[in-house]
Amino acid sequence: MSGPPSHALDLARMRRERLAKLQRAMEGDDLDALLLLTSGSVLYATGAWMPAADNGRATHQRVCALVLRGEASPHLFTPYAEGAPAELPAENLHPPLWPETDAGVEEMARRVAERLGSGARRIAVDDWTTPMWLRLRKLLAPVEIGNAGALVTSCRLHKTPDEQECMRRSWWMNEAASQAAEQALRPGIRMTDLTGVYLRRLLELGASCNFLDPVFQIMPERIADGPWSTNGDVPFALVTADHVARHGDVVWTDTVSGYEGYASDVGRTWVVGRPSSALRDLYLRWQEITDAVIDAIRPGATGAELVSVATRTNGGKRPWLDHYFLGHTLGLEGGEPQRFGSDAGPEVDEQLVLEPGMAVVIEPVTWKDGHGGWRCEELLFVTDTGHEKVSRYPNEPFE
Amino acid sequence: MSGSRPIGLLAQEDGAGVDFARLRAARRERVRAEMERQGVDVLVLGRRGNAKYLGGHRWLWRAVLTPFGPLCIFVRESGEIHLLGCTWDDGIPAEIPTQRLSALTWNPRNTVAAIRRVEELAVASRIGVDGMSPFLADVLAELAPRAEIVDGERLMRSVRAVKLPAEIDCIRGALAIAEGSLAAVAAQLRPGVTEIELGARTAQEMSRFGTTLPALEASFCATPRAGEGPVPPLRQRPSARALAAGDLVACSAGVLFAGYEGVATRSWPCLGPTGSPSPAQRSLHARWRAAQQEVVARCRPGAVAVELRKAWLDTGEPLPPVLLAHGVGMGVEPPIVAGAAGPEPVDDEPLREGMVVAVQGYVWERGVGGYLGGETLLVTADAPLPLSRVSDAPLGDA
Repeated sequence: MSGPPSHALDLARMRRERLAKLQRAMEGDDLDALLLLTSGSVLYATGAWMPAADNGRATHQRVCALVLRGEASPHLFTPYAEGAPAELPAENLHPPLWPETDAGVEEMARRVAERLGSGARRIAVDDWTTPMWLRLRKLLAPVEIGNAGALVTSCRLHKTPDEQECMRRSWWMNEAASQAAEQALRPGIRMTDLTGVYLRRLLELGASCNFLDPVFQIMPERIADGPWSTNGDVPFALVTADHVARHGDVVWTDTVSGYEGYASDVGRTWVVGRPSSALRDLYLRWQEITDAVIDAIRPGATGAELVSVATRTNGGKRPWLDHYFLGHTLGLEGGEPQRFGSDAGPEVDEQLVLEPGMAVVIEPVTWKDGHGGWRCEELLFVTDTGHEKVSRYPNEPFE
Repeated sequence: MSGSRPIGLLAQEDGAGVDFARLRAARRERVRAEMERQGVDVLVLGRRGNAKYLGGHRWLWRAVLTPFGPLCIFVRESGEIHLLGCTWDDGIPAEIPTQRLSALTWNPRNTVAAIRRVEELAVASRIGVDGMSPFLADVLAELAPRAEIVDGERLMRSVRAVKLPAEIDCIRGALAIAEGSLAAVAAQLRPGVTEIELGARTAQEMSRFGTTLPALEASFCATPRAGEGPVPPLRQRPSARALAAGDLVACSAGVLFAGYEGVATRSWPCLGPTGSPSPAQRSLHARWRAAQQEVVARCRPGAVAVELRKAWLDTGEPLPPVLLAHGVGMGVEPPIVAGAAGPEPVDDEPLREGMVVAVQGYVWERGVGGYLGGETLLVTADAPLPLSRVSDAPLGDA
């Protein structure tokens, strides 16, 4: 695989441009402030570092942001002062909020109100703890509190060149770590050992964190050999267990890691030993579908068009997992996707119109029951005239 | 490094054998009893720890805080558990029938349909939630028009605080994996190795135990030997910096076992050619041990956060830049005893017999560095019982 990407990257500029977008959106929605609690939104608004941790820990060591309309810097409330970006003024760095109790929400309201000033009328939040839901509106009255989710998502959807470079680096590290795990795959190795190889290489390369328990799943050849499911489709992605690889096994992967918070979402199909001729055919059909969908990615194309191209190329049958989708957009944490081909329905696919700066992951699947299947993910940036393919993982052993 | 006592899974030989089906039943009965006491008919839960406590099921772990969405609905009267976002029965306990699983969905109409299947909502007079969204509020207003919404997180917190014996076994298991992994990597602290490399090796060590879920990403940071102010900041974000002989390295690693958290936090010296720590490093460790012991000794039923903070401050050491203490269970749990970095206001939840708490401290000496250390303890009627088994060697006694 080729070396790491080396486009210019200016993180301070990236943070400045993201904040400017949020400010314009607040102006447009006539909001006086955004109070942000979810990790992806806080990253977007502040660029603050926080350690990757389980939800049960992160909830009590929350990093929050308050973005005030017209102000050049966000306010950051964090237990990790070292995580504040260098340009954040000292007066904007605050001890953490803890909206887990009534007293904690009263403190949150007091600290937000003193910064909002008396003229504020409308703010938006991106999540509610129960004490917030039960008390914050009353505590901040007459200020109205709306929903910040859609506003932040709309800003996050279009990537600046710096954001794209973070995503290139994130994807490259994830592919390199996946490749290390693929090289370790042999009869007798446990899937959790692949996790170890993957995580070690990922962190050595400088990935800022791992977002998802990496999936290394030995696939059944028949759906009926997998667990019970609500939809009867291929059971993927299951939690990685200490199953031992045998000769001839096919392993599907799904790994999500971050660089400066920007997610990669690598999915591959690996074979222990030599692939069967049936699997080779499934790969060839997957490649044909993938090429056709990639060809269709350009400004103005809709999610519905991509769904239609993929289905047509596959002879009229939808080539992806019923419980997932043909593809999704990607950005910080993997948590900002607009999906196409999901159970949300064709209207949602119609509404997703590709525009320059968007990052799109496609994940077609081919399956022939009794012979298994092929699934890989590819990342594309929508450019002014078409697309840039970011993913570069070779499809061994076919290339 | 770890002395002669075994740590890691070998140390578990006598305590293994949790009956998880019985543990799940016991947890659900505790929740049911507390719902009855508070008159709560249905719990709608979106927090992973709460859903795990009731469901006991496995799902794909993610290191992100996303907006609230319901994952688990528990009906008091029938004892039924409905799990949302579960497309398979893989990792679902046998006692939860497949008809109470609803698939992952990206369509709000399907989410409403999944919630609508809980018929008891229609007659519920009180519903506990552990988070909220305007969407869920609208759904509940329609499906449970008579219901008052109450704080289900507070309810779950009070149930989860005191641990059952089998829960303590799980925490011991998690600690054993974390300590075994950390000790293996601490043995590799040598001049030239980078902080990032040590974190990377820890992730692989954990995977060798068959677990892949971190409670937090491992951290190895050389503590400063000089700097501004009375105590220069402690880094928790590993860097590409190579360790040098004489560095004292603050190390922490944590895993989840069956949902329960075990975290190991200690500092180890990066030894030069002489192969032994300096007297100044040993005396710094002794200072940490003495201050830590003052807080540990006060971890008895009835103690509140301000008392624990006072115990630390009375030693003359400034508050540590991490939480001074917190409950341990399915992740970090209250009581939260803030260190220098908050949060405020101070939690006023008193310790109770059967709680598990982590106590942490940090001491610093100019020219020597810092010592970050922590221990996990079981609160008993008498002196707290240490659950951590990391040795104090080579800076203190093994």
